[in-house]
Amino acid sequence: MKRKIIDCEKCVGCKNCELACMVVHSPDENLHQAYREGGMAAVRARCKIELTSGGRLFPEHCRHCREAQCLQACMSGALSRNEQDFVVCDAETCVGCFMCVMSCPFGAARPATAGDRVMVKCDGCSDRTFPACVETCPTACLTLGEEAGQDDGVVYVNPPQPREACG
Amino acid sequence: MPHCKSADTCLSHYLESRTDINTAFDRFAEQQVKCGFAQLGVCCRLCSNGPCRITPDSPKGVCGATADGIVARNFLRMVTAGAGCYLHVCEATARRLKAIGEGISPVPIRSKQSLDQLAAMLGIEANTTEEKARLVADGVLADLYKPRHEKMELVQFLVPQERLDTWNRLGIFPGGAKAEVFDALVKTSTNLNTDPIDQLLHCLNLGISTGLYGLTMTNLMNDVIMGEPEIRIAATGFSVADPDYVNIAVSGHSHSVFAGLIAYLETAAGQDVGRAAGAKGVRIVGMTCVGQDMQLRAGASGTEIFSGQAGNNFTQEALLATGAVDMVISEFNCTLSGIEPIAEAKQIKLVCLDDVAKLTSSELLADIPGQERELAQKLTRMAADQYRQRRAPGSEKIRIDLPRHGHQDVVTGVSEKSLVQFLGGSLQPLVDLVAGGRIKGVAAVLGCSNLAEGGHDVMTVNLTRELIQRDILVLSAGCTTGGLANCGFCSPSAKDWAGPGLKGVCEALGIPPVLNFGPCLSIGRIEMVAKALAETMGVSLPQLPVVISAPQWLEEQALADGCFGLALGLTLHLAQAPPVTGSPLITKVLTEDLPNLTGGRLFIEADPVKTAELMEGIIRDKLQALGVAA
Repeated sequence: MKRKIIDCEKCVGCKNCELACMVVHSPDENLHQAYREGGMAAVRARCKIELTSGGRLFPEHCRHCREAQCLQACMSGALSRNEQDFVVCDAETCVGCFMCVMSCPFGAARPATAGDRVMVKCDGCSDRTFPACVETCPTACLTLGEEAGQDDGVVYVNPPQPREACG
Repeated sequence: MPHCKSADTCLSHYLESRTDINTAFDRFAEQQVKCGFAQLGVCCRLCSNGPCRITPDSPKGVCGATADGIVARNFLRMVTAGAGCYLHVCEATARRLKAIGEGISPVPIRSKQSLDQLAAMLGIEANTTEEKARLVADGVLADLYKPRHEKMELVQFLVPQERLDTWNRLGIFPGGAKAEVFDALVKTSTNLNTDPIDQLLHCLNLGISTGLYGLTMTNLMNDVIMGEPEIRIAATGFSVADPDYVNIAVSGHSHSVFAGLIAYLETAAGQDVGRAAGAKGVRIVGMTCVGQDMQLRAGASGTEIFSGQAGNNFTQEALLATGAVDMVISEFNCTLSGIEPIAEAKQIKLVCLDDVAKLTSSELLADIPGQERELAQKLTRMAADQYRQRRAPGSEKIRIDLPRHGHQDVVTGVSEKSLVQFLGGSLQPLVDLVAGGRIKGVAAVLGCSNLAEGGHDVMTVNLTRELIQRDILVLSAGCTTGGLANCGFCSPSAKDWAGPGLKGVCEALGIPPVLNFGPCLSIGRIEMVAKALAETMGVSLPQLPVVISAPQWLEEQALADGCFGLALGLTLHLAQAPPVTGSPLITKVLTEDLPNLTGGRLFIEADPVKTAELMEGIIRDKLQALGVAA
């Protein structure tokens, strides 16, 4: 199965992955509409470009971990692994306890900023043929491909050194 | 890499066959990943704290600017640059007219009648033609150079009093046009104006000076220097280039910059330079808008030496790849930098006459009023030398691969004056056709071409086809008309694509369903037609049952033109939203509140069928509001 490959050295911080993520998770999936009438604030991007303490850009994406901490912590049963191997949240079932937010070591499980008190996370764009973030990345920092050696659904290439990890 | 298509299938096939060249049609595919922040207009690069981008996590810039503020500032900067471009052309034209009037330039005045009419409209009296030319030019230059607090004086006759009242009420009637451009840049700099509405009103102000000076006064002065448009039949497409001649392709927007060259090539001495190089003579091939202007006025100037209009902005790389052109002279935009490697491969000399249009590999030969004759001789010699070198024995590189392309029977030379003349002295016959229900209305499809709306000229052609099928007469100016002419819409046989009512009118009058007004500068002519129509019908411009569309707008100048249309109170369609949609406020003002301000309205629709339906509905509603049965 093809996985999202993230080459940290190619990130230029344009944030188009964040924007694309917001658009596909907005009601009518349209860039211009997503910004209308405050709609922008209601949608939260599931990915985020962070800056390491060493000053390097780091695209923070959900890993869809093999041993997913969020999944283990979820008491309502809202989080599950779907047939495409992505860890996804059923917003109808989520009770907003945010144990997942507490458990995720990467900050990839986040509370929704508006609307119902639920968590939001990357759904791998399960209903699309191509993840929106990968589609709009202009530098090929985000690509899809086969990468051996790791079990997670997302593979990081050239990650920042441990001492630089996000503070 | 997938290739971008053109509505002009012949051009598409030609580009696909030429795998040896790289054009905008190839590069478009490489640039498909777009920056959403730029599309929305919510990226600010004005200071070292930035760039700042508006997202839910960061809803304000470091300075505190909101999305509304950032969008308004970015948009005003674009409109300012666009206005500056057209005003530059106007200034160059006025300087030429002044130099002619002062006896410095040896260029002839081709239409004394135009000069007399223009002077009369401006209230200028003089004893001699030269003095009249000088006084007209002085008046224009004085207005352009006024400070911002002194209002423009000369051009008030170009719009109905009702418009002047509206503009004065909104405080958008411009002062000196160049000063307005200058202060717009000041206003949009770091930590200055943060009022989105004030900035939007400044856009309309710049739109007014763009329209009245940049477009209309430029046209009127060029009519004096180059002669008035006359309705005639002409050729378009790549086939206009005849490789037996020295071919000079022209690109830009300033017709009278070529006054000296055209006058020289009209002489036997000028043609002898080409003959001495082994050619049959020297010809000018139209490329981009200045070619459209030459086509429009070729009944009065350059009749024998202008071959015809080859194509619009995005055809130029393919035209040069044919190998049929020996030299390109550019004096303004839209000369693509993409022609440079093609010119190098094909040994085509690139010259520019104004440093604003300087390409890296073009030679700058400054056009100085008074030295037109010397410059024309030099340019002709250079072109002839290039012809000789390119055809020298052993010059294997230069293969001429010229496809059969275009049409021989394009109706051109339509202007606000020639149209009235054609209709027998007034626009009443046109009003009668609409009022009598033979045609449903008039729409203008104008402006640029781009590659973004389904491909080159695709939206323009599809929308035009829909409109004429609905019995709506289309007026066109700019690259739209270049594309439409090459696709056959400006030829009389295009009547067969029109609905039964419009087809009957086309047959009775011998006209195509799309009237070709020439270059984008002629948007000013179409707006003069709108004014005359409003006067004939006794209505205001916002009441007028016409709609304008710039279906494939490309650049900043188009946005300045659009602001003119909105200031005039007209309804304007664009297929692609300008980069303002990141601001709820600006989007709302442009699409919802404007009818209460200027009477104008902007609507965005990318689908040609839906657009045509909306345009038809708007015309119908306006006719009904006037009590005209439709």
